[in-house]
Amino acid sequence: MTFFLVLFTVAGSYAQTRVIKGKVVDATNQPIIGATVKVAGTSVGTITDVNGFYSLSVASKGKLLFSFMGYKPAEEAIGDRSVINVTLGESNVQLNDVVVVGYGTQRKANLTGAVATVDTKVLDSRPITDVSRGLEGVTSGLTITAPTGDLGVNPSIMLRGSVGSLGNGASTSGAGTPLVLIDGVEVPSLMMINPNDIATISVLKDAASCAVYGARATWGVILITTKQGRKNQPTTVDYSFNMSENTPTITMKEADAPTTASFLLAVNQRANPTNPADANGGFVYANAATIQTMKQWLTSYGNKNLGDNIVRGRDYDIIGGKFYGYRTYDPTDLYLRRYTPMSQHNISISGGGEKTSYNISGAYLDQSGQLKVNPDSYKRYNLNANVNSSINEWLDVKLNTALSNSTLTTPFNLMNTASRYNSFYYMYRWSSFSPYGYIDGQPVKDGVDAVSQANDNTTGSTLSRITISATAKISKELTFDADYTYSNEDTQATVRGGDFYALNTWGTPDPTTPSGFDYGIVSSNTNYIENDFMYQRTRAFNGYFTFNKKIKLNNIKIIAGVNTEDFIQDGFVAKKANLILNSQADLALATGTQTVGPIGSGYLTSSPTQWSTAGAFGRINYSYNDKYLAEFDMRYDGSSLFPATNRWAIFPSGSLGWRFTEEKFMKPVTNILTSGKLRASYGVLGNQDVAPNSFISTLTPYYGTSVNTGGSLWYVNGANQTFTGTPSTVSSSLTWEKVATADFGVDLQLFNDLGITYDWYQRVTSNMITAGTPVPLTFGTTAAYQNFGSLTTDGWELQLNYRHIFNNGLTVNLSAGLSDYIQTITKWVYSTSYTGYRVGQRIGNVYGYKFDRFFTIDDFQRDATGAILVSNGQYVLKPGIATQSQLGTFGPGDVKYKDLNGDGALTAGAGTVSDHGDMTLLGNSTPRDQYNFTIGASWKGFDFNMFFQGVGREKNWIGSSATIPGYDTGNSPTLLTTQTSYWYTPNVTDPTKSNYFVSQVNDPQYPRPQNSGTANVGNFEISDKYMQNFAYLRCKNLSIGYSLPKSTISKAYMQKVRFYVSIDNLFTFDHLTAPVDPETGSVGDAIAYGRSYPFSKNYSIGLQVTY
Amino acid sequence: MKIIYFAIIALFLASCTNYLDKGPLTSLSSAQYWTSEASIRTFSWGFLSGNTSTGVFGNYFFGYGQNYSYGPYYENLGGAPTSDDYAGGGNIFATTVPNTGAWNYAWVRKANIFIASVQTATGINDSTRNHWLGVGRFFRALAYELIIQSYGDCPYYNTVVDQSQTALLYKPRDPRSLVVDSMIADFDYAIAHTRVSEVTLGYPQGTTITRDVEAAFASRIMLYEASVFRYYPTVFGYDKSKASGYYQKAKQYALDVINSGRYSINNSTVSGGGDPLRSLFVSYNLAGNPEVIMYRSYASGIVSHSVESYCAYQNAQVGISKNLLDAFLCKDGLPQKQSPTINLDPTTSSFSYRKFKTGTSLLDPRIGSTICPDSLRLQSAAFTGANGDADYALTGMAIRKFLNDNDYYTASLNTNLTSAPIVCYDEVLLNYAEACAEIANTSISGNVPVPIAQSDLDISINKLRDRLMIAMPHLQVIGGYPAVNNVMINDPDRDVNPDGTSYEVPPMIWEIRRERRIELALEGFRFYDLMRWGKLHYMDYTRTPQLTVNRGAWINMSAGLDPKTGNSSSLTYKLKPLLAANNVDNTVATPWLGTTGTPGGGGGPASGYILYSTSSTTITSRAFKSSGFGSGTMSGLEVYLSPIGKDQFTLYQNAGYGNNLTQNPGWTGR
Repeated sequence: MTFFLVLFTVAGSYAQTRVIKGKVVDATNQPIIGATVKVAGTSVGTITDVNGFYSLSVASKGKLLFSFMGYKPAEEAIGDRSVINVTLGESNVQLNDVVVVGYGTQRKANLTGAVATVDTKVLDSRPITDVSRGLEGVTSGLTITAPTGDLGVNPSIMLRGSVGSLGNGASTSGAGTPLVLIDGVEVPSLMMINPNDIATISVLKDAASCAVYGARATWGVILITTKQGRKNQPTTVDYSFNMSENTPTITMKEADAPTTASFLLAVNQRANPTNPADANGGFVYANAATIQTMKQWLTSYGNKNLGDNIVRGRDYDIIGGKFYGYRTYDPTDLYLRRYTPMSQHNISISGGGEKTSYNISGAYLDQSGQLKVNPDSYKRYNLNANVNSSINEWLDVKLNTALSNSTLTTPFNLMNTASRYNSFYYMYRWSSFSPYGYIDGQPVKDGVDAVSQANDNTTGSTLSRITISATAKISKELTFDADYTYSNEDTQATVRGGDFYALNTWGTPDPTTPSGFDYGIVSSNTNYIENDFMYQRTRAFNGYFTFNKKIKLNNIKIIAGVNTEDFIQDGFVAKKANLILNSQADLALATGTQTVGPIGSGYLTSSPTQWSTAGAFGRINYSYNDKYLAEFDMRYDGSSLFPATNRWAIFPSGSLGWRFTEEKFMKPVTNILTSGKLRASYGVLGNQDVAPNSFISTLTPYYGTSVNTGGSLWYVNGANQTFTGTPSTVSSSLTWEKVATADFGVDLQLFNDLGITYDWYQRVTSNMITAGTPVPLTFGTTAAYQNFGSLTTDGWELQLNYRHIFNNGLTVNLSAGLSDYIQTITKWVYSTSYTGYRVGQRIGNVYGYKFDRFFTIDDFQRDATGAILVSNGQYVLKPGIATQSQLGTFGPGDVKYKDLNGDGALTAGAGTVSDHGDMTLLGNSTPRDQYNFTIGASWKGFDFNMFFQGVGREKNWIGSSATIPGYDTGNSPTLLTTQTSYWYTPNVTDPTKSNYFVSQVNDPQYPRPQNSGTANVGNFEISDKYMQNFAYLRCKNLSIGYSLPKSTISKAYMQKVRFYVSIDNLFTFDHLTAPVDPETGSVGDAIAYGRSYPFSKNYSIGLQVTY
Repeated sequence: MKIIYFAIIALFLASCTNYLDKGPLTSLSSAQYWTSEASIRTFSWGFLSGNTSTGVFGNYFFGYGQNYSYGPYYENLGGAPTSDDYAGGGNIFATTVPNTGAWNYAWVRKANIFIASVQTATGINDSTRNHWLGVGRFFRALAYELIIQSYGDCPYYNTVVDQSQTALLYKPRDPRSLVVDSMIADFDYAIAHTRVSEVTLGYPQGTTITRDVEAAFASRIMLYEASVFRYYPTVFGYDKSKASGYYQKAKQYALDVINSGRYSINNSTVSGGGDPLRSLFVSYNLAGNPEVIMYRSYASGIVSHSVESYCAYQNAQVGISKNLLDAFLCKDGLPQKQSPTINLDPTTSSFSYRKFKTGTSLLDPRIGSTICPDSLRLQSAAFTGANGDADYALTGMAIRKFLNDNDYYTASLNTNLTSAPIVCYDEVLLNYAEACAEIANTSISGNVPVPIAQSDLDISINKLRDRLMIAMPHLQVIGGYPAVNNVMINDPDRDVNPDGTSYEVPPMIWEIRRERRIELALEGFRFYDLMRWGKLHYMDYTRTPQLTVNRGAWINMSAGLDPKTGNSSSLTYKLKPLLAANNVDNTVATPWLGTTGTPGGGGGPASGYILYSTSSTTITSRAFKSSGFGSGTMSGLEVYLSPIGKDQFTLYQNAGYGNNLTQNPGWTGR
């Protein structure tokens, strides 16, 4: 190797040299700063200065190469010239020209797999906090969902499907989640990555592209690389700043006190028309008389601001030892701020000399939550640094470090320590006449005051990550790359409890006090301090050879290497009761019982886990004349999640491509169709994404946890003896799930401006690990999981990109993406279940009854007095009207479903395919026809960008108080403003009166009030009428920017100054009847549905400066 | 240089074999578990576990349970009757074939896994291995007993079956005798190999499975199986010739314990425990008690129970039936209807007026360790809340056996700490006596002599009668008939055959069964004894003389008389029969009383026996109905074996093994 060095030195010293000068500008005649100017075939080169000028000593002959990111490279023969000025045209596709793929890069033109790249500009100049949210809607086939607007929470990412497998518990719930690699290594939480540090994003969709990553890449790979310094580049300093105000996109609002109370009373009236039980709005009551008082209150004080002082007699009263509320409260307003600030700062310094390049960046994010009192917050600091150095001609080494620290602060749940019952749940837990505020300076027991009295829970995470890597050029054709990454994320959660002091408005009123209530501690089991500590460590090694050889028109590239990665997540929870001081919560400052347990037994939900993988991989790319393309991939993979006997597996895949526009017969049309390619790929991958211990038999230890709890409870030698349970059963034949993907694609480029990519794919998950065939009881336990069943996903993706620069400098960007897939069970254990898993069942199908209309009095038989006949507890229907007695008790105003099979009775039949009664297919809850489009333009320093995303079809049944009035009124006695149109007969309490059964609300949306509990029953059997339609179109982002002319700013040695305004979630069109954000989707906890952190609309301004 | 790279990679790959061994962090890998006696012992606690959330092994080692769950030592208000010792209630038996469920093989599987794992475990020597194999096989026998007690014939497996072994899983039911013979083999192996003591290993005698524990349980179980084979009519299909061999095994296992010399009848008392018999049940520490073979300990703040609290002053209970009271012998050793010492007419007898209190002094002193003798426990009319005299029993007669007198006012909630006997020597002696008697018995019915050796009675039942403060006359055998002090015993309440003239149970067997009922009263044995003898109809309180199952104490509620004391008093009481359908709080004006056996309605007379259940329709519909085995037909006998759930038949049918599963007798089509 030293020989080469000597050779270069000698060559340099003997050359005749002279100086060439010139200027490099862009199409608008603005200087390009930092462009590389290089003598072809040598290492001699320089870069342009802030005015675009360069000066270079060169040998007399040869060519100069000019290049700069984002521009088409140019080359000029030196000839005899001493001044060479160059105009670089902007490149349409240059950034996309080279695509990052597994263990290397590839020219986009020569790709044979389904690989999409993301324009990382989508991550700039938007008030987004993390990479995942930035990826929403930017690439076809990628579905990002975040069911709530919670701070600091990772959204879930799915690629080409909502489920990968129907693992029935054997696979983790996240099955179908793609592998996300940052510089080649996974991070436990994408929240820790600063979106501004990202240079490229590639999405590998088909099996062939993913194969080199083996079993962890079953559901696709998202490759993210971070920004690196470049050699021979002057130091540049980038600074950007973004400040935004966030406001909820939509919040639920409770109806006013009399409206809510009337509804709740109507629910009770159903049971006892003449003398209904008092409406219970959550420990506060209302009856017909107090509803009148509520109305008077609204007339007298509805428009006045009475503050938070609650006055007995005016706002409430205690009558007969019972607490009656008069005042209307707006909990949403009491809990939430309308506008919350967020700010982000990013700074980076990068540059490089002959041998070394570097990039250092820092970022700060400060996000404030929407809680009004005692606001929650999320803060994050990032520090990245990388250095790349050529030690000698054949060896480059690189050091990449990242440090990220985040702190999430939320108030302790003093109302209820269960996580579901957080502040946002309580916001809609009680009716609008449940009191908030103070009586004679003492707070009542309410959620807002609970927040204000609460200590802060903090969750702090620190990610530190270091990668060392080296590239050795062994010969001209062969290089060896090796890298090792050590990544550690520590998470510490401190849960600071305490006691909640208030007037106990939930208890029986105390007549001896002026307010009517006792003051004291009203929380239970909240007085404790808990510390959770968790570490997540990833270590990864990659080593691979790359061989590149061109023999005439044959181009061969071979990659072969090994990869190992191991992960551990572990930690502990320490908890101690009885704080000495509420305000100082620390383990050392508590006096009660202390307990310790493994991580997952406390506030943080992740449980201890570990795994490792090792694999050898290879890829051969062959191309003939850039026309015929072939690729073969293989991975020999081993995973610790499988038993030693079944640990290793080979996953081969391959793809072919044909650039038909290179053929001679296409010549006549290449001025229109500049480039065209057909692709096909097929591959099989194993699924490592299985629940822990799916493949090995384990024993669970049971140890004593508290009095009479846990362990054997067999007390010997001073201890409740720990025992181990019966070992779990694992089927001896259990093996890997197999996921095969076939992908056919076409890439077209028309007029150089319009790019079209279309992919059709079919993914078959076979050997699915499902509950085993039932065994008789003689087995002694339930059947172990077996490989049975197949799931087929059929889908397609279309992506269009248009970019044109007009002669006047106007640049237009248009892009659109559309994708769809359906998932169908193609093999399953024999089942005739209509709604359950069976062959032919489509994932997401929702079955239920068809809504016909509301029953009217004319549907029922009446006696001489006009009262409806009752038989066996049911109102008697007139002949010819289908009975619904199997679904509950129905009367006028209740929902009448359609008797689809015409048998005179509404039933679910036997629930089988052949006998499903009146049940029918109502819709599908999988997002269908997901689309996005971007409209962008820039002209004379102004830029404009609008980004839309949407879902074409998605329907689901949501049983929750957000969607159904009267849902579980015992736990949620609320009525939302969107639910006030219901079948109602006010002031008529005698069922024998002719108008008792006639609604006085015209064409009501909802039926006669009923407490439907938490089950789908009675009026709220699953039916089409009250399904939610989640199709929507949203303007996800609008940004307008202005960059100062370079001629102006170059005097200040600046390369770029851009101001912008940006608005996220500007407007949305949807069809929802529930007041929730359409991105909430239909997932999550039904009971708390909609009662969660709101999504926000963000208005931001920002500044980007480059020195 | 390339060679070096390759070498590095090769080395690296070579080291991968260990690299991929990442076990689970929160559970133990089966493959690596069985490596020491400690890990084996840890697994074994799962069989002794009383933890209801992870599964309890029958009632074998449950003792007093823990928290608010109790073993068979208490009858909750409103609960179905578990035997004729308690007053009536609902029906505990299935009446239709359930849709799902049947025999529980989980414990069989667990035991088979245990045995297989101990066989291959590392880190132990042969004698340790044999000890634990013995323990494992003992557990397996116990597991099968749970199945055959309820279901009779069942598929037998002595290996861990894999779910792929379909033919094995769906195999036909093996005869009960095959299962019992296999259990005998397990018991014999266990008793031959299990340690006599683990004291040197740090486990006090009686806290772990030792040879004597196994032998004691084995005698109990073999007595059960022997009785089933002898008494169950041919419709059940059991080979009656097997019975005597099983009685021999029951006798032999009992003799193993007796001959060990390690146990004797307890003659010491603890504070608040009254006599030495009750002291066994209310002691805070049973370590070293000569009668206790195994016991369950409790410790404050770790494991505690509620059995005492249920029996103490804050809790109401169903109460003990007159039927049990009537079973006690008089002090002279003769049955109440035979003894001249007692006037049984409640209206004239000083004994029978407030018979219960004063009369108890005339009876076998074990009455005092069974029933609270001081007064009737009746609910005061003034009582309204959760405290005060909530200690009432619906029959007026409350359980005393499990309540330490000192704890009457302090036993609170679930914090009781008295130790629970798991298996005791007195039971072994009773097993021995019954086995000897049945071996000597040539007939299952009739007024026939049973020539048991006097020596066998002397080392068993008469040891119990010699207990300090009990001191009952010895049971004699005269010509195969029972006697005390040379007076022949002839209890007129003995079972009568359907012909109405001959007695169904030989007098000696009758007296030995009585001794068992009295000594082991309320300990949870009675139901299983009725089951194996084919006498479940004793629980049918519409029959004579079992009418007394529905009766409590005789009281007089005449104005001015306190029925608790019989003295003049202004206190009034109300009787509160807890019936789901008729849960009426009756005031003193209309007590639920009846003087005769005929169930009365409201507004009965002022004096009489308390009736637990008073509505004739309720009694007819709720009372347990079963024919005696003497009738010889299946009608009413189906309760002796539980039905197998319908889903199992579907499963066998679908798997192509439809002929292999048969329903238990009497259940087809229900």
